[in-house]
Amino acid sequence: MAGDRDSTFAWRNAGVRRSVVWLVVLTVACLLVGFLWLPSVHADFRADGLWASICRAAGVPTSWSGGDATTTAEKKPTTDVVLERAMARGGTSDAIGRGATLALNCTMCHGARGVSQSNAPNLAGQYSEVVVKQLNDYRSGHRKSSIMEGLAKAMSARDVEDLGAYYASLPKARTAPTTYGEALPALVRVGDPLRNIAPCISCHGGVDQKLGAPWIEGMPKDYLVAQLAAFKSGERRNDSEAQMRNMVRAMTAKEIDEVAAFYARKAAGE
Amino acid sequence: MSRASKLVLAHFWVAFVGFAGALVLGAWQMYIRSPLAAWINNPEHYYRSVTAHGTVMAYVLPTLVAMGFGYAICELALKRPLVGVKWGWAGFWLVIAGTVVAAVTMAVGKASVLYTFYPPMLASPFYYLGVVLVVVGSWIWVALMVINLRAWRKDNPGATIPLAMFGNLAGAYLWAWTSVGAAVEVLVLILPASLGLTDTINAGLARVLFSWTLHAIVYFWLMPTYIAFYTLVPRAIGGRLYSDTMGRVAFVLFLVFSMPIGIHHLFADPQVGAGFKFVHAAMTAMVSVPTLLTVFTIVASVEIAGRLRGGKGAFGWVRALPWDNPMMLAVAFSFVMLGFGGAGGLVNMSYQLNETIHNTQWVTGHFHLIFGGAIVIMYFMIAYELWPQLTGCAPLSAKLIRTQLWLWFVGMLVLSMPWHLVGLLGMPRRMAYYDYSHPDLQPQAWTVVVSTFGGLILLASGLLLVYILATAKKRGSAAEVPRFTFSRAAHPGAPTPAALNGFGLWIAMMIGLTLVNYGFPIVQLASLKDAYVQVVPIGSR
Amino acid sequence: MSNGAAAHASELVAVAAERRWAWIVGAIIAVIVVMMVVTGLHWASMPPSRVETIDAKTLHLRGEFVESNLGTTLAPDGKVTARLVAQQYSFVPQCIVVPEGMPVTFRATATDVIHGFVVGTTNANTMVIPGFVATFTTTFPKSGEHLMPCHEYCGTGHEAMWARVQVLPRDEFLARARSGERLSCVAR
Repeated sequence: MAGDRDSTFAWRNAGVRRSVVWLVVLTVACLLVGFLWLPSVHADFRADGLWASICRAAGVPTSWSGGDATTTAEKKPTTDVVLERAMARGGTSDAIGRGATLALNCTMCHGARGVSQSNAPNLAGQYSEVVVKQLNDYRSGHRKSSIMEGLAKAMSARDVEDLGAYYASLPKARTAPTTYGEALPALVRVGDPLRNIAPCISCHGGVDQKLGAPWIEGMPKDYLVAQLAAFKSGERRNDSEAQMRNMVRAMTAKEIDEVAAFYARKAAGE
Repeated sequence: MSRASKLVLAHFWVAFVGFAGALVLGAWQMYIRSPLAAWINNPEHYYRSVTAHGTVMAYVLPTLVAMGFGYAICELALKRPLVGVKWGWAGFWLVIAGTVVAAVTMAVGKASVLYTFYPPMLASPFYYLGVVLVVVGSWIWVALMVINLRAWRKDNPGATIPLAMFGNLAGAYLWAWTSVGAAVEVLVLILPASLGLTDTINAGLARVLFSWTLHAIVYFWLMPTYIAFYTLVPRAIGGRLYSDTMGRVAFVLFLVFSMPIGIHHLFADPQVGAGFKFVHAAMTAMVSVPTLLTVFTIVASVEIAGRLRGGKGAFGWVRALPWDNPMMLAVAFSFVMLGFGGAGGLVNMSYQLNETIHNTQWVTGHFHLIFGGAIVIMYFMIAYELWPQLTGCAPLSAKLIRTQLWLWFVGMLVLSMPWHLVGLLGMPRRMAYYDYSHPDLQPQAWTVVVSTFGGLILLASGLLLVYILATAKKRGSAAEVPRFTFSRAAHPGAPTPAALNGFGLWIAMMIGLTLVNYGFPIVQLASLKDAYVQVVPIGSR
Repeated sequence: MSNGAAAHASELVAVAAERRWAWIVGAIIAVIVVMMVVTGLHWASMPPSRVETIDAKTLHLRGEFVESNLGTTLAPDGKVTARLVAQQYSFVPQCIVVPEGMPVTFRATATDVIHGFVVGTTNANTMVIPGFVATFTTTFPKSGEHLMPCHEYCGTGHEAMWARVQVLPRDEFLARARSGERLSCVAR
């Protein structure tokens, strides 16, 4: 090391000696104050004794007062599905093949090759984790639909994954990515901060794509309006931790109509 | 100075051109989120600009200035040609390559994660690779500083290291150690996740590792400025350095205490324990010692200049100072901004007071004032002082330089004072727009308008800086460039203690304190299963 | 060139002045640190530092942060706890109810990325990191409504992430809390 002569480390050098001693004294004093003295005035640090208090001050995780023990609410999850990044990956060709076969049963409402002519949503090119989540929510009854619940309950877990893989493999229905020109409705491009409405493009593509957020361009307008209204009223609750309900709660009916019309516009070409 | 001239010039030019570009972005950012502008059409554009502005101002500008100044010091202070010029160029080109790769990635919108890039949000791997290349290029500079000093010591056994070189090496060693934190975070945690090799990442650990770098890096930025305070200012204004020894004490204190205090950036974080938070807070108090010592020494040195010019009485020497000398203006401005910025820093580091201002715009106002203000204003002077040596130009126009400095000083105060206030009013950081129509937010509006004008003044100053440097040669060449000298001590014969003529002891302390202050939190967080959470790549799929 | 003795004498003066200043600096530092320690002891105030881990993936399925358990509760022993979750781009509940003049313990965690919040101009301020539960206790001296923005960059919707905190007069809060439900001021 540059500048390294024996005397800089020599204990006999008074300057070295004093520096090292002072540093050790300072460090030990800080440790004593930080790990012993300050935590001692907090009852929940002290609760399990001195050693536990030191560990807690060091950052060893523990359960603090105010934890689950005091809650009595009935735990009613609004969805059973745990979203993981792995779900977003493409399926194997076997899975896609099986899914194609299963999808023949879906064409009456969702259209041949997933492009719907009715008010049922397009599925072509939908992200696989979205299809998987919604089908599983239908299976468990967390998302209500007189038609879909029955159909989904007849599927196995593997069927659901295969369908997700198949639809994800299709080209996205009648769409080009959202651009962010001036023409976009305000809620789509900038949202409304003080109503806690995030810009749609920050989750639904165009700028950012949140895991589990569906691709909605080219969706039938009536479908989009119905789903937004269902979120707003709280009737649809399978968006975990209210992430969509929080967005739509403050939207007016006119705004719902406007954003739905915007996303559905790509379907107008038909 | 010959072999290194081109090398130093290259560093400074890239640094200041990048600086000017980042200033444009900064001024635009302030405007677009002020009440003067309609909300930006696409918030991602704002975050893209913030990422680029921060990356250039934090990772590119100060690194290149420190590197260039370091090479110049090697030749000018050690009075010998730079050893390893070819390696110096290799380091420079690595920095450029990294900057370009990161810049292109940011420009196309694939890296809008801000210069702090906190996971689980992940950008394109090219952004991180760019930053890595910049850091690796700077490590070559560190090695060259060590090698050059070693060569000089071999030829000058027992001699006292010139103060400028001593500070230079302190900065180099400090940077080498402090960059390890972010380097580990990027190489071990972020890049594998960004490349898709893993689906989870330890977000809490990443924040702790980044904090290792995040505070001490500001002392790496500060070193060139303090070297200028001690070794350029007294000579430039016709005075003497009050105490060479104190300068060394300040540099080694920075070396020891800059590092193990980063957790004061994590006071509000739930993954770090109270004990470590307090220890870091107390040691942060220690790192203000070298600054307080420096303030005394430099003011005393300036007083010497004043009295040598005939100033009498308790304050008469202030009036006698050479106020038409740009260096005098610069150091005065720097100290005023250091005073305000330092006071703000004392609030931030206070264990409990930090809660009032954490992640509000107070923090942003603070670091613009202290870094953009007090530190960077001396970067300008370093360039101005070295320019005749580097380019053979005639002395630069003092009037233009004074104008540029005044613009920077006034602009920085106009920018940052309302910024501190709006933080106290609760304005959160890093938002692309604000709804000023709400009664709670309406009082904040005027502060952002004023800051916008401050930003414009700063932009003008930055462009003037580039103009002065670019037109220097055109104004005329010097018949003979005067020999470059550093400041002389007021009592030059004073012997330097051995401990202040080497680094081994201080580096050992720095590493030891880091182990004590960071060892357990890092190991502990790495072992927590729940701390590994899903990655969230940004951008469209 | 001043003679040796005069130079030496002036050097001693200089060194003495430095030493005086060093003592003053030491005193300043000591005062700052002592203030931190004293306020830490006397008011038992410290930044949120209760380290606790949690599985971020299953917050909505089981445990304390299931949606139906979020909001403000009044325990039989009088302890008020406000539980919330942060996600891209909203807090749940969007509108949090707290009492005036009673200590409130906030417990918060995140489902996805790093968030944080500050309540109005108060010092209720914390980071919210996925995988960890942030806990801190504070008291709101005056009733009214505060804005509660997210203050850490969490993605391109960060600027729209604003919640509210309503501080209710003590009696009104106690009356509502008696029913045992999880309180919030979210419009239904």
